[in-house]
Parts: sequence; C-alpha cells; structure tokens
Amino acid sequence: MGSAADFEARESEVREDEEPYWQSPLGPARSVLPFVLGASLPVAVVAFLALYHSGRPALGALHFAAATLFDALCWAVVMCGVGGTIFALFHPTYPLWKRAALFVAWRIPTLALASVWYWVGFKREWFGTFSRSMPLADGAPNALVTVSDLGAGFVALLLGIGIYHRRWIHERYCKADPRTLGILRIVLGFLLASDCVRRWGEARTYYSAAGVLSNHYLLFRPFTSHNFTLWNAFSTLAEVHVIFAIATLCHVAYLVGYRTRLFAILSFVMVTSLDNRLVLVENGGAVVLNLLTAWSAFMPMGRRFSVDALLRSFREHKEKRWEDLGDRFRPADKRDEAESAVFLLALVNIAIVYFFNVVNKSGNLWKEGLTVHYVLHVDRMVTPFGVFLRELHLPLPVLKFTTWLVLTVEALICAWILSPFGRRYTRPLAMATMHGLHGLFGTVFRLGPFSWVMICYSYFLPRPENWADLETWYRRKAHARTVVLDRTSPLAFWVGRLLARLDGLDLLALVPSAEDEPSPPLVLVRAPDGRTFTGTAAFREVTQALPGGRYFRVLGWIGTLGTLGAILGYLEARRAGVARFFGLGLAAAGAPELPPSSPLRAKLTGARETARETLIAYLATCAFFQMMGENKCFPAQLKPRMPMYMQATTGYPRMFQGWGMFAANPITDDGTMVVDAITADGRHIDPFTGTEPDLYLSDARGLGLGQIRQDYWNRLRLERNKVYRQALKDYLLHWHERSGRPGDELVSFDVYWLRDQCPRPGETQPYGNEKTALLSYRKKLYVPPEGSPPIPPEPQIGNAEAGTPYLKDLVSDHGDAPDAPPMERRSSGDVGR
Amino acid sequence: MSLADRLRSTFLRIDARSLGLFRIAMGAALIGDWVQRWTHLRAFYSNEGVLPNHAHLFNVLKQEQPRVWSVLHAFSTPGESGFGLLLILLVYFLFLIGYKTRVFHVLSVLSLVSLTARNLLLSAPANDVAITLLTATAFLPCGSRFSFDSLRASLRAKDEKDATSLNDRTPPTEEALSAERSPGWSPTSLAALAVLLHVTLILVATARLQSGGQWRDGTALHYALWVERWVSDLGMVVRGAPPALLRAWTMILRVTPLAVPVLLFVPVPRYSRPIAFGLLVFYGFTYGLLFSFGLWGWTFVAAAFLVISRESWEAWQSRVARGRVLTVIYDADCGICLWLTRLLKRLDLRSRVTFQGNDLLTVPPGQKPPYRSPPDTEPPRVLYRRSAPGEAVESVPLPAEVTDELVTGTVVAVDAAGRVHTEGRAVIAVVRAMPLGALLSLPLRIPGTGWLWDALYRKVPPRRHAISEALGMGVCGVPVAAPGVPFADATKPGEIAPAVRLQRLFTGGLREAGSVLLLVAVLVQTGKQSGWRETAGIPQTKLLAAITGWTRMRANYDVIAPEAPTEDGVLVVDAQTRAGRAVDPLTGREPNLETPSFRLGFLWATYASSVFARKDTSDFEKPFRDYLLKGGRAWSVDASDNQLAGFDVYWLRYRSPSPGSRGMEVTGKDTLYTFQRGGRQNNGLPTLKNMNVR
Repeated sequence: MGSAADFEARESEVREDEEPYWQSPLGPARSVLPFVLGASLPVAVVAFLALYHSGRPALGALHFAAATLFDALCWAVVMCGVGGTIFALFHPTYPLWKRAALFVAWRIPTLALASVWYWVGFKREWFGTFSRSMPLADGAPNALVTVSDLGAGFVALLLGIGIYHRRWIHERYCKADPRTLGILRIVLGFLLASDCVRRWGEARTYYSAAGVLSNHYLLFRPFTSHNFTLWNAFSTLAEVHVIFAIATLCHVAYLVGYRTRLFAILSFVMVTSLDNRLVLVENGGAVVLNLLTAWSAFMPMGRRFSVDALLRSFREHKEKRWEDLGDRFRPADKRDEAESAVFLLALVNIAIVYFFNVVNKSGNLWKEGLTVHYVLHVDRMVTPFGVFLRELHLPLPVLKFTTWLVLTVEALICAWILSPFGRRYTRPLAMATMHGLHGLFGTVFRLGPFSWVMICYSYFLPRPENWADLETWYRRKAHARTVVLDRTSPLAFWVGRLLARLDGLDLLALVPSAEDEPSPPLVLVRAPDGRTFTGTAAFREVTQALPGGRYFRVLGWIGTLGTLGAILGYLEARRAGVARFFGLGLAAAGAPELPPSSPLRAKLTGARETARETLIAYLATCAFFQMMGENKCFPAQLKPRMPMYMQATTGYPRMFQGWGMFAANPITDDGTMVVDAITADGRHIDPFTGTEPDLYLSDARGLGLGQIRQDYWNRLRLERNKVYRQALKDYLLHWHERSGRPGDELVSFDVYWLRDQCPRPGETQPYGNEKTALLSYRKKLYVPPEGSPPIPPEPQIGNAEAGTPYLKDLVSDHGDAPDAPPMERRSSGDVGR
Repeated sequence: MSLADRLRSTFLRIDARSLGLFRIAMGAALIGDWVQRWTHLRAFYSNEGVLPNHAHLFNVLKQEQPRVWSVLHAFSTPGESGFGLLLILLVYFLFLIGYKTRVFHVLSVLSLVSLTARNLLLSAPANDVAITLLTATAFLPCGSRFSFDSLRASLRAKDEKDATSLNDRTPPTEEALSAERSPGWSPTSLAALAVLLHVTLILVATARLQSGGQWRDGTALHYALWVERWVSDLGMVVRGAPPALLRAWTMILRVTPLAVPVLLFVPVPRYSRPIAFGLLVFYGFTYGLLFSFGLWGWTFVAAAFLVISRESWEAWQSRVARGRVLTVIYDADCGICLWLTRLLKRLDLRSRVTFQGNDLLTVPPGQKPPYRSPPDTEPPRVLYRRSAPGEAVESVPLPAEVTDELVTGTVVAVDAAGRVHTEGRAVIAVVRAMPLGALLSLPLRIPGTGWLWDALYRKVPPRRHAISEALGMGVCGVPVAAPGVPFADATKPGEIAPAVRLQRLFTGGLREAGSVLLLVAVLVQTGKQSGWRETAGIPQTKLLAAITGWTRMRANYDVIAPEAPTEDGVLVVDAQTRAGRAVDPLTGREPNLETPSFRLGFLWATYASSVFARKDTSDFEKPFRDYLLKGGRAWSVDASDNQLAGFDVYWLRYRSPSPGSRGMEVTGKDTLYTFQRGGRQNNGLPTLKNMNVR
C-alpha cells in the first residue's frame, strides 16, 4: 500500500486538477450548467417511469418529467447567479468596479428569476382567481409546476454537479482500502453471527410455530405486502434450530472470509429473513444491519484478512526454494484501493443516518435538553448501568448539557464522515466518536443490535493514510526478527510460506538453518542483539512482529485451550511425520495457478462491473425515494409515491431510510406488558416470568427485559398490531403443553399494558401507574376447585395507544405538546419509541 | 479377475458413464416435471391457488408428527412463488449439465422435496420414487462423466498442444484417477449396491401391489387407459389398439418389475444387464408416454441407465465400425481450433476421430515438424488414419484434393471412404462421428441446407485468430500469458498424502453409512406402506421414520394398483357468471356433463383424487371456493359480467368399456359442492356440501 507521502502527492495532483473548475468569471456554476441539464434528462426519465409505474396517467407523468427539466434549468441558473454574485464580491484580484458590476449584473436577474419561480411554484394562491392550493407531490390538476418538480430539478442539479466533479468525488468517496474492507468484514461477520445467536436463544418463544407468532399465522397475516422470510419454511423448534444453525454458519463463513462473495450474499438473505420473521422487534439497528450487509455484498470484502486471500496467495505464489520466501507476494488487488460507487452510497448512507437523527429531533424536549432525563427513567429499556447512572441523581443542568452534547456530536459525526478535506483526521475522529457515543448507548439501553451495528459501520471509515499512521505507530512497538527454519524440514518450509504471507510489515527475515547444523530446531527466532528463542517464546517473538499480532496472539492460546506449548513441542519433535502426513515437500507442489485472463474475459469483467454499478445506481435511487418518503422533516408535498417495484426493492429486504431515534421527542412514559393468568391448580402466574404477576410498575429499577421481549410487548400493544394478539392467545393456551404439567393449564388470563409516567424534570419518582387490558380469556364452563377463589370477571379491553391524561403535564410544563409520542407510525428509525 | 473382484465390480460399482447418463436423464425428467408445475404455479404453489401456504402449514402442524418441510412455504404471492420455482429450475439445470454436481444434486433433492411437500394434496407415487432414487444416487459420483465438471477437470488435467497428444487415447490408470479423485468419490461403494437394491425394492413393492385380477387376465392396461384422470393424449390414441396387443403389453408390464431384480443380481452382467435396461426403458416409456403419472415413468427411464454395466460400455466402445472413422485436419496455428479439437477428443467416446494439424501433411504420425524426409526424395503427403476406432494411428496417402491452400482456409474432414468434407459439411461430418451424432446432426443434414452451413462456416475462418486472441488462446493454442517455468513437484505423481487418505476415509465412511441408513429407512417404510408383516425384523425407529418422513419418501408405489378402476369419475365445475353464462372455470369452456373428459394434467388429476376421495375435505373447501371465485384455472373475472354468481362442483361418474369395445358410459353425477346460485345445469341432485353455509 502506498505510503503517506504517496498519498499526499496524489492529493496534490487532485488539487491541481481542481483549479480550472473554479476559475470561471461567472462563478463556479457556469461550467456545470450543461451537466445539470444533461443530468436532468435521466432524472426526468426516472421520474416519468416512477410515476407511470405507480399508476399515474402517461400524460401526467410526462408533464412531471417536462417540469423537472424546466426546474433543473431554473435551479442551475439561480445557483449560477448566486455563485457569480459571491464570486464577484470576494474575488481578490478584481477591481472594485468589476466587483460591483458583477454583483449588480447577477444579483438583480437572480432575484427576479427566483421571485417569479417562487411565486409560480409555491405561492400561486397569491394570484387571486388563478390561485391553486399547494400542489401535491405528483401534481395538482392544472398545476404548471409542483413542489415535486422543484425537488426533482434540485436532484438534477446535484446530480449534474456530481457528474461534473466526478473525478473529484471519485477520488474522495468512491475508493476504499482493502484492509478497511477486511476489518469491516470481520466486525460485521461477528456482529451478524452474534445477533443470530442472540435470537437463536429465543427460538422457541419467538421464532417457532409453537411460539407467540407461528409461521402459518404470519403467512396468514404478513406484516406488510412485501414480507418474505426463509424462516417461514421452518415450523417446529427442531426445524427452526436447523435454519438458525445454517444462518450462523453463513455468518461465520463470512467472518473468516471463506467464499466471501457467496457468503456475503447468503448472509444478506439470512439477516433480512430473520428480520422479516419478527418485524415486531425490528428497530433502526436491524435496518442499518440490513443496509450495511447489502452494501457490503457489492464490495470486495475478501481481499484482505480472509481465508480466500490466504488460499489464493498459496495458489498463485508457489515458493520452490528457500530464497523465494524472501519474495513477498503482493498482488495488485491487495495493494490498491477498490473503486466503486457503492462506497459513496455506503458513506452517504451512514452520514444521512446522523443527519436525519439531528434534523428529526425537533421536539421541545430535545430543545429543552430533557431527553437524557426521560430516557434514563424508561425501565423497559434501561440496563442496570443505566439505573446506576440515573440513581446518581445528576443535576438537571448536567443532563441538559448531555442531551445537547448528543445532538452536537451526532451533527459533527455527519460532517466528519462526509468531509472531503482532512480525512486523515476527520474519519478517525468520527470513528472514535461513534465508538464513544454508541458504546454509551449500548451499555445504558437495551437497543438490540443498534449501538453495535453503528460501531460496526464506523469500521468502514479508515483511509489508507490512517492505515499508514497505524502502521507507523505499530512499527514503533514491533521489532524485526530473523526466523531460522530447519533447512531439511518440509514443515518448516510450510511455516515459512505462511509467515511470508502474514508478515505485512516485512519485519521477519525468513532464512534456512545452516547446512552443517546437524539437528536445528524447527523454528528459531533470533533478535538483532543475538538472543534466540524457540517454542512458545519464538511464537511470541514472531507474533509481535506481525501486524496486530501483539494484541491478537492471545487467540493462539485460547484457540489451543492453553496447550500451545505442547502442540509446538509435538510439531518440533515429529516434524518429519507431520510433514509426511500432510504431504508437504521442500517446495510448493505444482505450478502457480494464476487466474485465467483474456481480452474477452476482461471485457466480460468490465460488463459485469458496469452491471454492478448500474444496480447500485438503481438501489441508490430507491434509497433516495425511500429517504424522502420516510423522514418527517420533508413536507408531505415532497414525498414521492414509489412504484411497486421500487417498494418491493426496499420493502422485501427492509432497507428503509427513515431515521429518528428518540425523535421528534423521546418517550416520556414507561410501559410493559404483564400477563395475569390463573392455572388449573389455582395459581396466579405470569407465564413469561414464571412468577406472580407484578402489576405495579412505578417501583421498578429496570425491568431486565431483553430487547426482543421488550420490543415485542411494546409493539403488540399498538392497535395496528392487534391481529397478532390472537397468536399470543394461542401461545398462552398451549403453555401447559410446553411445560409438560397439566396443572399449568391456563384457565383464565388477562394481558395488561402497564404504564406510568417518567418523573418530572428534577424529580425521581415515576407517577401515574395505570393498566390497560389488551387480551382476556376465560375457559368456558370452568369451575374452580372447591376452596379456590372464583375466576375474576373479564376486564374491559382497552386501547393502550389512547392518550393519557398525564400528557397535559408535558404541555403545561414545557410549552408545546410533544408530537404525540409514542403512537407515531413506526419506521426504520424506530428506536426508543 | 478373481470372483471377488468380479462380484465387487458388478454389485459394488456403477460405471461412471452410467451415472453420468442417469444424471442427464434424471435432470431432464425433473425439468419436464418442473414445466408442468410452472404452468400450474398459481393454482398449486401460490396463495391465490387451491391451498395457500398458511392453510397448508396450519393443517400439517395439526398432525401428530408434522414431518413436512418445504422451502416453498416461505413463498406466498404468485410472483414470489415464480421466483422460487425459477431458482429450482436453475438448480435442476445445473444438475443436468453437471456443474458442481454434488452440490446441485443435493439441492435438486431438496427442490423436489420442496415441490412435493408444499402441497401434500399433490403427493403421488411418482414423487416418492423420484425422491428415493435421486437421494440414493447423491452418494455416488454422478458428475464424473458427461458433465461440465468432468470436462473442465479433463481440460485442466491434460493440455494437448499437438496432434500426437490429441490422438493419444490411452485411458488414465486407476492410480492416476485415484490421485485426482475428490474425497469420498471412491468408485467402489456400498452406495452402488444400495442404489440397485432401491430399484429392486421399488419394483418388487409395485409388483406386489399390482395384484388385481386385471393384471392376471391382461386387461389392466386397457382399463387404465380408460381412466380419464390418468391417460395422456398419446394414451388416448393407444387405447384403441387391438386387445391382444394390450394384453401382451400388460403382461410385459407385469413381468418387468419381477424380472428386472432377478436380472440385476445375476452375476453375468454382460448379458443380463442389457435385458434389464431394455425392460426398464420399455416400462418407463409406457408409463411416461401413455399416462399422466408425473415422474413415475421417467424416473424408471433414468434408472435404466444405472444398470448399464462396465462390460456393456466396453463392448459398446470396442464395437468395430471401420466405416465410421474420420480424420480431421485443423489449423495448427489457431488457438480456438486447437481448443475445439481438444473438446472433440473428449466427446469422441469411441475414438473414431483422428486429428491432424495442417502443418503435418508431410509429417508421418509420431514425428514433429519440421520433418526432414530422406535426401533427394519428395516428402510423401500423408493422412493420419485409424484402421478402426481405438486402433493406433497410421498414415495413408493424402487425397489429392486436400491441398495446402485448402487446409489453411477450412477445416477438412476425410472419412473412411476417402471422401473429403470441407466447411460446413466437415462440421456436420464431425458431429455425425460423435456419440448420438447421427441423431444430433439430423437437422444439419436436411437436404438442400448444405449451402447454408457452408455460408455460416465461412464467417468463422477469417476471424479465427481474432477469436483466439480474444479468448486468450493466442496462436498454436499456447496461452498468451505463459505460466512460467514449469516447476518440479515436491511430491511424486500419484502419491496421496495420509491426511488426504484420512479425509477420504472419513467422508467415504460417512457416505457408506448414509447410504446404508437410507436403504434401511426406505426398506422399513416400504414394508410398512405395503403391509408386509415384518421387514427383516427391523423396527421403524424415530430416526428411520424421520429420514423417510422429512424427505417425503413414503414408499407409496400404488400405481394402477391393485388394478385399474372400471368405474371412475371426473371433476366438472358448472359455474354461472353474473351475465348468466355457463362456464367451467377449470377449462374455460362450457361445462361438459355428457362426455367425461379430464385433460388438465397430472397435478389436477392428483389434486382431484386427493381431495374428492377424502371423507373429510373441510380443510380444503374454502381455498378451493376462493380459487374458483377468482376465476380458477382458465377463466378471467376482470370484467364484472364475468364474475361468478354461483357454481356446482360435480363428480361425473362413468364406466369404462370392456376390452374390445369403445366408448364410456356415463353412470351418473354427484354434486360435491354448491355455492350461492349454483350452476346453470343444476337438476336438483342432493348436495353433499353447501359452500356458502360455511
């Protein structure tokens, strides 16, 4: 990989290339104009297709497309004008008269054009009898220009600028270091496997046909019209274990980089399937995980730090002599940065997560800095560490400061991620901040994979110069060593081949033992000062010289369960036998197997890359539409109506783009579900806890619920999920079959949503404990045994989403009413709601 | 060869070529079956059909031991189901061509199980037998021959550069094969015996079930051909055949399941196996062509290839056909030409073709150019030729019309009679020399089309070097990017490392255990299904039941068993539209209650048999009603006038004619269901079910 100096040189080249872009006397936008107009054509075509396929008449769609073209022109001229004005005002070499002339020449026409455009586009009701109401996204009748036209035109503007500056963008945003991708793969694979195992632990209750939502019920009542999951093919617990095992295997194979592309795709299928199986417990973390896995499937994740890379290296470079071990094999695709638009897409995607998280947090509680106070008192989500923090009773100003700090940090992360300058510092800064911010979230709240997937995403940020810095730093700690290998041992030769591949810092000199040495050790490590090491000491010395080996060598001990010394001793003593067993020789067998190459193959590769980039462009378009449609900061008039195939593209894999964690306001009330059941032998029990039901919430110090359970409860109470309560009822009715005790049969049960209000600012005690019955059952003709109390009458089924009288507290105390938490429509950013 | 070797070779080994042909035939059968299912995708595999996935799962999970798994349960809408079925087609296709054969073999098993288990109303003996044989052969190396895998491996293993190496047809030694073989692919295996035993078991069980009087008096085929639900279009033609012929045909069908097992285990495979092959092919084609029994007949056709012994292959290969030898003179400087000759060499199973570079017209066989002839003599112009397929290459005088100019402009093929073929005609001659070439070249040999092939061929020679370069072959077949200096290997050729041996032992052991376990499971299930009192005293443990349960190997082989019904019925829906028009939504035509006819194919026949033969059909009524209301199989309800206002579902009973006579006699009709207004032809019959009451 290139050094930091190389990078600086390349950067300066880019800067030189940029100069002509900004030397136009009419401002930066003039030369962009043709590109904007050119880009407006595909945007108009996409807009036309989108509208036409979503059921609009062809003429209406054509009208929209034409208006898009017109608006792109308007945008470009306005931008050109604004740019020219700024240019005129601040140009260092222009005389005053020229500045003034340019200022007047551009400002007045620009203002005039903008005014007309604004009136025509937005405020046509000012025209009296010709007035129209605010046009809708897909056009009001007789409207000349709609808000969506303006939006589409603006997109064309951005696209045109993007095309014009494509080299600049390509250099800064469309490249990724193979080492970054390798590390990202390992972290992502670990996260996927961990999340899968976490859910596997809940297989019986949440993922099998005997659980709270059987697969046939889900197929009968799918969550959405685009709900596909492989888990639906697996019914019984044994079958569900099989699919979880397969999914985990896929993720682990992805983690180690074995057949990376195949398992990247399979991991994507598995993770989205798992999400689709129980959408009730989905939150923003699951959606980010879907997105990251999807984008990573387009990236060359297996070029570094993978089994594939190691095997390929063994296959393509076959050392035949001891001298060959000194020749480090570094094929171009391992050294050079990978290039694709998917890197831009992935980067912009993580940036907009933060952007909309800031923008959408527009509620009064955020403005007043009360969010941290409230969320720390949500027992449903808070961890023991969170309880500890809240019981420190930090002063309100500290909590307010923390709230605003969170907002500020999120805004800064967005800027740092996208910054085209100083990336050597901004990217690591963003990465460190994401670790800190989400690490804190993850330890304070039970948000499922949310915090960890955001941390995982940050591993996409390191740049080559960061790797160079890391290398420089690590080199200071590592020491060069000479590894002397037994000249006569094929096993030693193989060890040498392996070390040659792992020695990324070129600190190891691999040499054979002296010819006249009668019985040399298998591996002997020699320090420059003459000290020598064998056995585990040699292992330690070798690993400290390998990249990261100082920190990861403990894995060697763990992997061998502490028997590393014994294993090395065995290899030392039986080196000939081991080599014979594995068929090793003093030269690698066979000729190097280089990948076949031909002009036709190169063309096919090019065509495949073009197809890939086209698909990425399509996915980016879908993501853009989805972002416009989902985020609350966009007015309804701007929200596009996506055609069915685009809805399917984002809907099936649940790749949504609505981001608003704890937005617009955090929740201010706490709640959980409790089952109050009576068994055939007369016990009061909550089948989910196995203890007597506790119907008082306000004395809780954290409910200790896992994310899956607390989200399942929280979503089940919503009226739109009422249909799934039937599945819960079936589950409870068969509870005794699972426990195996006839006495556990539930003869009656009531499912309650318990709710209380978080303490008012400055207070510590929750208030307003209330319960709402959501589901009730009484066994017909059941007569309690003599001496047992009678079965209580069925409570009235209520609506857990109904407003609480305590909401007025917030209104009276804090001015504006919060925008109705927690009953808003759920979206992908549905964390903490 | 010792007796033990002979027995091992006969019973513990299936020739790789036989397995390759089985794979191709089975893959083709699976694709044929897939096509049928694709045409009925909406009806049977989507939630708009007669059995939505949630209703199916709900019913299945009510069972005591719900051992039903199908990946297609995850697919709901017609679009999703179509996507799922297309994936299955891809799997079948890759299995057929032998790409990553073992992977796609296993995936083919899972696909067929999924297609079967998605809709248990479509369960039929055909699926049982196909799944059983497909699973049993998954333990064998079906991709060793006639496959993409084997072709690729062969091209990689031997990189011929000249005519000498192209003409070298020495078969690889057993040691060399063994060294290259993947783990667990030993040719000698209990799995081979297990496959033969599976075939035996299926045939014997079928024969035992076909115990009715019709099979004894030879009328079974006649009556079976008059069962409307079973008969195919061809079967309708054949049912008019003379009774004596049908009687004889019946007897062959009766004898085959008993004779084949005997022939399989007679230790003179050279004579017994071809007879068994012929009987199985006849048996399979009879069921496949005359009836709509799905995969039943075609699986036996595929299985027939499994019984071709090594001796038969060798006899076929060594059959001398001196008149069919061919010499191909190719452009030695053209990379793609050399590659094509390498490909031809591998397709030329009977070594009929001799290759000669166009630079070797004056070079005797075995010599390398530039060849120096004795001084003061004009070098003789020679043609390479084998006197018979497989013989050594010798030289004969080159026909005078083969000039240097000719061989630089076109490929030249010289046949045994000395006829010279050029351009497109040479290509046809080469195709004809290949196995099955006479059949495959038929379209190319249509009289009067020769000019067309010549004209098409002429497009290639001027571009052959460009094509070669584009493919990275360069000239002379030498890769442009040479791999470098060849290295001496550390290990001796053919040497197998102990670690590899251990791996093979392990995987081979797993294979043997798996095949035996499968055989035992199927044996026990067959005994249970066929009502045998005891199956060698083996109890059906949970494990054995699970093996046959999950894979839907129910061992239900009751095809035309115990005999064909002499009275049967067909399903007719008499619906009326809002506009008052009478229509059968399954056919799209007016309901026909006069002449029994059921031309909807295997799946509908199985569905009708499954549903309407049951006493309790309540689980399936509502989806069927909804399906009909959505237009059924062949009716569109988009227009409001076409929407159905009511319907009656009839079971139209008829009696088959006795042998020698023709024409069915309608004996009555039962109204199975009625919905709302009912149909137009309702004549007040008692109704079994009133669908709108439910």
